[in-house]
Amino acid sequence: MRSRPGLRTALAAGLAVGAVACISFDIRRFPDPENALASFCVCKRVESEGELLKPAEEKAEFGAADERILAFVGVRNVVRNVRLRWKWYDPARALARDTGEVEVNPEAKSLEIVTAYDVLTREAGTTGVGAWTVVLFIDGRLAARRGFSISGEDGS
Amino acid sequence: MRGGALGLSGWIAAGTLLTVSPARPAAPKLLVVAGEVLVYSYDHSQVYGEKVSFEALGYKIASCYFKLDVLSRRALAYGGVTLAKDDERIEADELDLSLEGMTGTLVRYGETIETIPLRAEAAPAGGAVNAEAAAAGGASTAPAGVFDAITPDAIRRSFISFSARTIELTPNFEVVGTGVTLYLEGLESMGFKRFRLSDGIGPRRNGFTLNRVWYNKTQGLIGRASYAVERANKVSSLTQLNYEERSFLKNNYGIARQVDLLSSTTLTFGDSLRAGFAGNYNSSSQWNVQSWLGKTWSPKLTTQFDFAYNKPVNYRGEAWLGLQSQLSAGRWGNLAVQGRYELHGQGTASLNYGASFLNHLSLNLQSYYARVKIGGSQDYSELFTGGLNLAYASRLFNLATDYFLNYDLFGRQVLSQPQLRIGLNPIPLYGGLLQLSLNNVALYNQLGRDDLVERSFSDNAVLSLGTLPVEIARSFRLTVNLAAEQFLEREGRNFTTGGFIVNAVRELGRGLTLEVFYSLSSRRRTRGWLIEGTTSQDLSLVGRAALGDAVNAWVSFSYDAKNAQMRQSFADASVRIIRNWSVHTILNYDFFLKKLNNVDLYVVREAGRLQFRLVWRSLSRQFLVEFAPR
Repeated sequence: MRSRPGLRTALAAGLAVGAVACISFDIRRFPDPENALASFCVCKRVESEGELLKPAEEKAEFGAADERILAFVGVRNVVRNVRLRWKWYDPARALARDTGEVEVNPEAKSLEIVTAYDVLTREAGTTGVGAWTVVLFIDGRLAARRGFSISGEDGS
Repeated sequence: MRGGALGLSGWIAAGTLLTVSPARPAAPKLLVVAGEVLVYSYDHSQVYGEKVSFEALGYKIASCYFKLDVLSRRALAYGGVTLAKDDERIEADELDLSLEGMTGTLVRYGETIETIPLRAEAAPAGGAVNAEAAAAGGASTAPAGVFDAITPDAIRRSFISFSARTIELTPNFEVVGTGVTLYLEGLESMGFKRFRLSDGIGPRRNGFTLNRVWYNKTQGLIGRASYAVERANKVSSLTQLNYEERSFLKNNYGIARQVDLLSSTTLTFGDSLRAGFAGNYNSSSQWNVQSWLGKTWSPKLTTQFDFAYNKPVNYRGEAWLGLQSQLSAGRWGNLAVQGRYELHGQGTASLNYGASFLNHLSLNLQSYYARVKIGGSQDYSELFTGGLNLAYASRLFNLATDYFLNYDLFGRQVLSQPQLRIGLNPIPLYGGLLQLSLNNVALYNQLGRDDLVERSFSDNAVLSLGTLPVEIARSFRLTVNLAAEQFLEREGRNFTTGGFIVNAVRELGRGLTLEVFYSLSSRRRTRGWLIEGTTSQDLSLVGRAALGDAVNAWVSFSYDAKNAQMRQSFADASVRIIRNWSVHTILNYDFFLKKLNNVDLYVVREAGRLQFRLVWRSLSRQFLVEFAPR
């Protein structure tokens, strides 16, 4: 009878896999960062998704007709009171809007994710045309920054 | 068995990509970052950190968050950034570092966006400045786009990632970690005390490097070593030695061992003069050397001289002297000349000239002469070829005339071939619904051999009329193309061809379309009083599915309407599964032979600058594991 090296190899591999299957490994997961920011984006509106919100029409360029620009944030693993703060800067890099500290989860519940947004309201037209910046602070520390632009044309 | 061998090769290739070589402890460092969380994506060459500290620009810097993009050579520390030096302490929201040249910009988000430019080993340049002053001083707030993609989740989703206690960046942008844990698909794999996480992207290191010593049962023992010398703007030299030992392999029927030595050196003498030397040696007794000297006389004129000696296996060596020069004379055109002479009487020469005139005219002239030995004999072949092209392009039509000459001086044969091409640019009719175009090519051939002269000519005219896609009904488009061709030639093998193609597209739903192609073509030829010809038809059905990134597939069926039989079917489908893994398959079924001709199956992991592939090819019965840089 001819030797079947392929079969022998497969059998040996099978036994090895079987033996390995009997051994348990302590598989350590990837390090969990403390950064609770799940998402931060600029969008035209938000939509409901169950009890949460989700951003819709994410974009970095807005038109003269866009009267509302939203900065949406998702924060995960919220187990204590968290303070959020949005600051909006116009093309002259001057503070155009500051929400102040907004308290989230004051009851210190254990929440898997929290979604929130702030709205920059502007009059339709060419006011404020140029590059804008919105920054988010979590517990008094800068957590994210996004840039967007408003053009003089109707971008919608 | 072959598949297994190739699979092994694939894993070896992977091994070379992830070279496990200890970093040199004495190497200078551009940045050393320590942090409570420090993770590195091998796929994207990016670092993310939390609660980090590092030294840069003469300060001890600490911040809550840290991002580093090796490829763009930029780093961002943000969230409670503090810079400390002696008694000085600066606080900011953000520090954007440009690692090339080591400059930085501190940013504070207060009543305005306040930016403070920083330079290496210098105090803040002028303290707080406003935006205009910062821009004038060369400091700018970096666009956030580079860093937006660097998130803990993105690094966790990498195919290969590392966590480390500290991460060092060398001046060559090599990334070295200490206290490193390697993760494959986010699962812990191996730990290293010190590990080079990524090759540098800067210049090579000087000195000797043992690149690889490897053994496998098909190739034997393999060794690779190199020696590099780099002096900025002066010398660049690399010598590589490759050695393969196969004498001890059981089933080795080839040569017992092989040595390759490759060396290349470039010397730079100022801005306008460069010289180089290259040499290659192979243990099968072939070798070659080349030296060159390049001179830039002006931005428009360059010249290069070279000398090369080439010793092929079993033939006598050849020594060649060469000269090439290029002149860019702006509106007068570009001229390139090249000549090479071999010490035993061989030689080549070429001349190329190209120019554009009066906006619409272009002229190209090429000529080439070669006198080279025929094999190992003492005979020489001698050849002269030349070409001239003059073209005129306007909005309505284009006209071009070509002349090609091939003069075989050894075989005493001359081919002369002028041609004239004229084409009518597509003319829109009925507001662009129809497009009409006409092209004609007239060709004359004269082949002279000794006293014999053969002449032939032909003319080919093509008229085509096509429609733009017409919306017949909602989600249903139709395109029709008609074409007629008349071919005339001196020998009388004239024929006329006519045909049309109909393409109907029906959109079935989101991302799903069905297309039908029908083509009919008929060719008729007159031979004396007899008219003969052929007609062919083809009907194809194509279904396409494009559902975002998840599914991208098409399947086609081809039907021979004339003989009423199915011909072939092709399918190409790509389906995204999880974590950037996707399955891709290519199928071909032959209805005539009633068999599956070919199946290619790919399991692909997109991993930024890498692609990991498991490939099965039924035709060659191969299973491949590939780790390909992109």
